[in-house]
Amino acid sequence: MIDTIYIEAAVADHPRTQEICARFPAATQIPCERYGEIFNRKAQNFRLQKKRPALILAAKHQNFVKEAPLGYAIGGQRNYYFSHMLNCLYDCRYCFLQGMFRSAHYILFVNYEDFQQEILSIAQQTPDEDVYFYSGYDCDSLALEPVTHFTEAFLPVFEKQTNAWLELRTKSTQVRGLLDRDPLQNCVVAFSLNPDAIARELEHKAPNLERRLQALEKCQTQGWPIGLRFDPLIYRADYREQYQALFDTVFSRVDADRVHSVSLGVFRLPEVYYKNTQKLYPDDKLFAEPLYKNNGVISYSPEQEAEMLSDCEQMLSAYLPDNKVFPCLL
Amino acid sequence: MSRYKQFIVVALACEAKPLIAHYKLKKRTQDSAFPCFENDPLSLIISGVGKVAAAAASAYIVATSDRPEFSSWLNVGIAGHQHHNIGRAFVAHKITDASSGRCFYPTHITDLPCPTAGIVTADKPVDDYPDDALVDMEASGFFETASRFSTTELIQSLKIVSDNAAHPATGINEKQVNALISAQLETIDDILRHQQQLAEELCTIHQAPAQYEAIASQWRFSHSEQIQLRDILRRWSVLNNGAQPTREDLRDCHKAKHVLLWLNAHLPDEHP
Repeated sequence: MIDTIYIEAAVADHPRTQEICARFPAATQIPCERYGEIFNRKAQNFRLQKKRPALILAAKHQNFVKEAPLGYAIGGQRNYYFSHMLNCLYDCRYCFLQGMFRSAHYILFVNYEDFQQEILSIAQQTPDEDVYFYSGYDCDSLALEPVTHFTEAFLPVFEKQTNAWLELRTKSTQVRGLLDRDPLQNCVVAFSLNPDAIARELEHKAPNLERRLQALEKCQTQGWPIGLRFDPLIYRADYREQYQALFDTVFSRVDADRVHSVSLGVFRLPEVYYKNTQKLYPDDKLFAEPLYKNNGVISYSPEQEAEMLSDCEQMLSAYLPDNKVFPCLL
Repeated sequence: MSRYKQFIVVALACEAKPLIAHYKLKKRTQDSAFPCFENDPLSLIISGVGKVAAAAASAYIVATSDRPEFSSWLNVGIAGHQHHNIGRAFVAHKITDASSGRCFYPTHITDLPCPTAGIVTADKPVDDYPDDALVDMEASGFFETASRFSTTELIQSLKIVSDNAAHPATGINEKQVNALISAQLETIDDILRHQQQLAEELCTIHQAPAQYEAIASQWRFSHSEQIQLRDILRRWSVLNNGAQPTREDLRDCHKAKHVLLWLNAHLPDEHP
């Protein structure tokens, strides 16, 4: 799975680096000074690199935790995100990462403890108020879990700091680590879902809907708070039927009363990322379809966007109270 | 004429000779700065020794070619290593310029026919080899220049060990170099074949829509209108399962902007 591992000099002796390298004994290890020498350089093709991404083991030095953009929330007022990893195992055509980064290599920042310290520091500022931390912003939270042991390292931090909520956002089925331990009531395991036909068309290399639902069911049965993320909603002429069928399927499998939150958002990309991605995939239908620019964001027309959100909220209202549904307003 | 080129940069005539024979390359007669050989889509240039020469030759070969949309690059040459056996071939995974300390990282996204190694590009011949890298005199100049013209996934440097601590470089002659390169022709074939596949893939992805040339030549499009035309024809094709507008569709268009207006108006306005 990983043929090449670039290793920053500063983390060469880090125990996490050693452990990951031991997991891939056949991988070529290439030393580097800073990950940017590889990841940020010009003249790279994300689409080609996606054929065989390398793993870069690095240290993050600052800005471990950032404020989440306004409109990115699942019930709390204080929302932050952190990225222990950049890029994703999967290859979803709508993903903003392919327009944001020049490289498709995976970066893993192995100095987890620095992230954890900043998370605790922020949460302890308001001990009586819940603070939400999103881990699946620049990566899939769980897809590389067997390599990163991310939850194993981070869940104990949230276990102690109960006003700190963690959202694990994923399309993966890598939930064994969660099933092997007691659930945390302040950790939301959020699955990104789309109708199967759309997932097959656009969510390349990701587990299919059925496998995600199986993972989701197991987590809920174990007692983990579950999140459902219908974001991005993709327009198709029959989107109402497709999403209605999806919602029917999902709520036939999960206990809606024990769902923590549902979030919704239509397909959208910042204009710069859209242009970069369109250049990579000029042959893809998603980027040939009629889209509009609004406040620097490329998406469906405002009317179409409002209609899709309204339709889907209405469909969801059959299963969930409104206060569990959060339209993403970015 | 191909839409892509495969450039091979070598330092020495004796490195070039087996490649010229194997790929049936013909000497270009118009060149005076560097000897160049070609057999479309392959072009080979003999740079002379050193990173500056390699950089200059890389720029020269692309500047004197037919400005391909995509190009792949391969630097082939000999190198020293402390202990690797003479004749072993390595593809560079890191190239360090010894004098500046700058590093370059070729990306490997296809299977390689030989192992990879770090390369240190020195300004002059060395007899004290570093522990863990090959030593050459061209790779950094080659890579830095080639990456101005192509994406790095299409740029590789292949080095064949010609000397080591037990057999220093002073004893090497042209005949031996020729033999070292000749023995790795299959390896070179393999790398070029993979590079060709990737270049062809990029050509296909970015191919102008079928009707583009015909329409662009029938009306007078400004540069920005040409870009719009290409984009809208591509969208036409993607959204209409490959269908393109016909001459009959555009019969009432008298100007380029009428063509663009018509094409825009007849794009499917409904999503699939």
